[in-house]
Amino acid sequence: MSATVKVTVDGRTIEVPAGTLITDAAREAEVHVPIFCAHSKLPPLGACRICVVEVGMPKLGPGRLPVTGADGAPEIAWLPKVQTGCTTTVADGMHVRTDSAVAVKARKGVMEFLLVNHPLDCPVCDEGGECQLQDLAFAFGADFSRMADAKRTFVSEDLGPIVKKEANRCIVCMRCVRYCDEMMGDDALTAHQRGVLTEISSFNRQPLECEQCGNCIEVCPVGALTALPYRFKARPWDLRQHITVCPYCPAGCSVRLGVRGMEILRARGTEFRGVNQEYLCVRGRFGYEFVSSPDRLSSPLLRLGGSLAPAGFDEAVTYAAARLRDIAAAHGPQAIAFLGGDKLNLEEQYLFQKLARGVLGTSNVDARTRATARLPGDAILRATGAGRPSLTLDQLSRAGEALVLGDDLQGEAPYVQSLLILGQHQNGLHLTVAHPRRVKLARSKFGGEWLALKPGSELTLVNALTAASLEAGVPAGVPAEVGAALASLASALGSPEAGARETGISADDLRRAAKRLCAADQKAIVFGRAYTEHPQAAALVQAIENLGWASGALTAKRASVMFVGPQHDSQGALDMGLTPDRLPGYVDPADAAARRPFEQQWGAALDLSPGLSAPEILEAAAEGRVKALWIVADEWVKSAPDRARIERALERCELVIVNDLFLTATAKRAHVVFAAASFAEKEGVAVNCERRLQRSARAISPRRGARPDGEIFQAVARGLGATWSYRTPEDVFREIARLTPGYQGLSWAQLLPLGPQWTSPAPLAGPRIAPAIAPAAAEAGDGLWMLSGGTLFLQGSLSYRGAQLPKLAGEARARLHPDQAQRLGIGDGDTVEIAGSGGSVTLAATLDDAVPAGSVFVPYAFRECDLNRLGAPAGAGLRVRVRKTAAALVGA
Amino acid sequence: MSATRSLVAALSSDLLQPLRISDATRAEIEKSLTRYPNRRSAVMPVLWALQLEIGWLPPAALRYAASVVELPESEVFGIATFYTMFNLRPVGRHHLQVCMTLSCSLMGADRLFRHLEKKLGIGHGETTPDGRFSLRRVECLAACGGAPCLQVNFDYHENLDEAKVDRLLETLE
Repeated sequence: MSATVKVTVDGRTIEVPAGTLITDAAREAEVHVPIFCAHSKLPPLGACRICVVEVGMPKLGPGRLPVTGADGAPEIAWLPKVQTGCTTTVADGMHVRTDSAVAVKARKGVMEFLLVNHPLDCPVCDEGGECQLQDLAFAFGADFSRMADAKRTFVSEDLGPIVKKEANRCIVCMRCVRYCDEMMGDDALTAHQRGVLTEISSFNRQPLECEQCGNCIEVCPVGALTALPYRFKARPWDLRQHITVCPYCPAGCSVRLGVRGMEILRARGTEFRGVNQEYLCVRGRFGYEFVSSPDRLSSPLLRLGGSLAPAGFDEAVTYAAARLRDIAAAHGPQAIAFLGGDKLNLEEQYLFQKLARGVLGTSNVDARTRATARLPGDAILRATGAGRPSLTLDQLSRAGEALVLGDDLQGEAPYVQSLLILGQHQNGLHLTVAHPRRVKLARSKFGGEWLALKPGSELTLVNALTAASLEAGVPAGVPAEVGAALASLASALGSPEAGARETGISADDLRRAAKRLCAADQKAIVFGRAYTEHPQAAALVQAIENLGWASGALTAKRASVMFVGPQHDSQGALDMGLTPDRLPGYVDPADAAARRPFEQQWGAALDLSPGLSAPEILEAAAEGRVKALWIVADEWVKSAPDRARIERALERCELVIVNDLFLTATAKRAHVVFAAASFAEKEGVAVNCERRLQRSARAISPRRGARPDGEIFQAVARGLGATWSYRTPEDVFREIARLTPGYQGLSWAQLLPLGPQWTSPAPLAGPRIAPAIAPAAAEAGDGLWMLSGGTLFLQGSLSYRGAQLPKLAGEARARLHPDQAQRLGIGDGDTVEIAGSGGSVTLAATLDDAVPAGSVFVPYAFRECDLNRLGAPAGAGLRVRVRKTAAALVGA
Repeated sequence: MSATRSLVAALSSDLLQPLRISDATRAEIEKSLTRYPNRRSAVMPVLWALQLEIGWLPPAALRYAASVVELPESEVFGIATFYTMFNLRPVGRHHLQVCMTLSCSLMGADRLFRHLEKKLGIGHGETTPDGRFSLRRVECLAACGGAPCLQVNFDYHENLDEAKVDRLLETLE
């Protein structure tokens, strides 16, 4: 069978891969074949029949030779009946007609059946104007109905707070049911009854118990499922549509914002666009609400006489620049430090560090939120393959084996989770999830293996998997120096048996997991903030690099290790040098030749000392060595590991500048607060977890008084005497593309949704294989392990500012295993006090057998409690004491 | 693993009236689970066994069935609604099930059904206040030769007309 076949659709001959469906071939030939039930992410079904076409093959005569007609063209033997285009694959020489009398009549007949019971309520239906059924009825339907009987009717239902169901409009295409099953792994929807009475609903018609992603609404081709938050708000033709990149997680989904006037009314995906196509998670779909929050800052604030007061932009810039200059003059530039920036666009990240390094002369720059430990600036780069072509999200879902280390992807990157579920079901992917809690992926209904490691044994686990991988020898195809290093690492690591004791996972299970990973042709290792924000982060990331080379996930040519960072542009922050020891493009400042282009462009001699990392900056500020802090777009007071330390740091600093959309707890302690623009109000590039560069459009003008962060940085730089004159983010990007290894040759114009992946022609850092050993720390006491992590509905301070997400999230609870709770005398709903070395928090308890005994899980929950009040983690994590308390709940 | 999930869901559910199942039914369920290569294939016999014991299928029974056959709860609910032989509400002492499929329909099932509605004062899926009768339209009872057919609990009554139905009802206490 040849790899491609020739097929003729309505007279247009095209060449497509063998196995292509007729509907996809027709799209290729730019012939419109209507579709309801088929979906690019779902296998063929053939439920709705609207895609019927006439299909023929060349007529064969004697000797199986094609019969030609008078004009020399082959005669076509048309099949006697129409075929569904969405279930029929093309064959070489196939002819398809969508415009013949037979095909048109058949389609019209299907249309008439679909409309038998469909109500004529388009004027009050939210789908009206963008409804596929409406469009097709207009194009192919009759202009009258032959049905004389009453239509069958159903009662409309609210399936929870998100989904409104009007079953009368349903054409039973089953897209919603199948998407929920195969992509989300949730099975929240099902078909009730049969025949003409078939109705889509939930178990016992209860509110949906699911991720509330609203993808069922998105894939519904009619108005049967609509979004309650958007109900009756707008007509689609009143909305301007702008494609932006979602500001929440590093998957980098394209979000189509529907804007009327200055207000964002909804967010949608778009089939065949972006990494996500139609998919959005609940945060992507409903998390934009913070943009129009009335609590947004409407002007910069300056601290005058002890309290923050509104100020003009120029006034704030002049003040900030003057104070920065004074502090640099009095204490040296090393007394200034810049924190944050994962949430900025790439251009703004570049300007932020350029301001620090090129204008002020300090390399105290660090972006990593919740940083608990110093991590070398190129550690993640090396662990993910040092700039070699990296795994795409699509390849991830097609891998044979994927190992997910430590992250609960449901909270950290829901789209990555869905791709893994889809891969399990459709592509035979085998999933191994190493997580102390039984997270959603660890109990996937499509199977897979859960490595239920004991909390605190993360490093041991990765080392044990490396040891088990190396038992079969060093993989073929690794560079010679790596091979030698791996061989000596193998003897240093010992056998997996030692790891088995500490992790609680049997050596056999460890060996099997390692064997699956090594044996798979296409494989993937996924890790994220659970490891990079771990107290042993540096050792863990080194251990992942060791495992990558030992298992063959990293080779001389390819890299199959994916870093799923904590924010949507965490990868960009690393690439742009928001790390104390690396310039943009991971250039080592100690390398004179490599740093020269930056010095020339910036017109400054760079500070060559490695700067302070985030925890060191906070420590230095608390001790009075750092006098000025500039914090960008993050709630550091509530998220930095040690509450006492960050409070002391902010108190002692002579100058604290904060850029944010809101007056956060961090901003409240600042001397200068710049009102920043939101993701929807500025243009810029973000780099997602597959290192794809995507540009998002500006959907609305910035809120009155707010400015894009890049403008703020430029104004302050000019106030400090720099001659920056960037008019647009594009100007900045051009400079980045000129200077930065790996970004060279990229142009602004090509960075639309599904933009190019960033790869370097040569690896940016050599492999380093080294034993990954965490510094021995004093045992942090007995107590329970404090487990935390992201949750589906809330991520970061912005997600709290809308209406939908906090409502869906409900109240955060301390989750305990039923056995553990029983031992502590705690019942479901009891109020408990969690006490650590630094302080305590009080909240209600919930029993949950997904949480291992010997630990307590509380999600990152800024509203209910600030977990950093518990103190700094030591050793491999934080230990706490939990006890039942009679005290009333106290908000933090 | 879905057993765990369903159990958690059941524990947290306000719908869980204590589900009491006799040892005989439990044994019957265990037996049907071993009858097929996949547990999910046993969903019909499991639901049937539960209905025989309880008389209908309350949400707790459906959740229990989902957990033992390892199917999503929503799917089990869909199955239970697909088949007219499963009752998702309690039924009266005499469950009148009128076949509405082709042969019976041609032989006057509609007329018969309307007669029953009028006589008992209840509609499809309803039960008389005294709990004596429930009425339901059902799919083919495979008794086309005796159309129209009415199933009362487990008994078939064939070749019916209004008069015969009236006489039948009098015998049902």
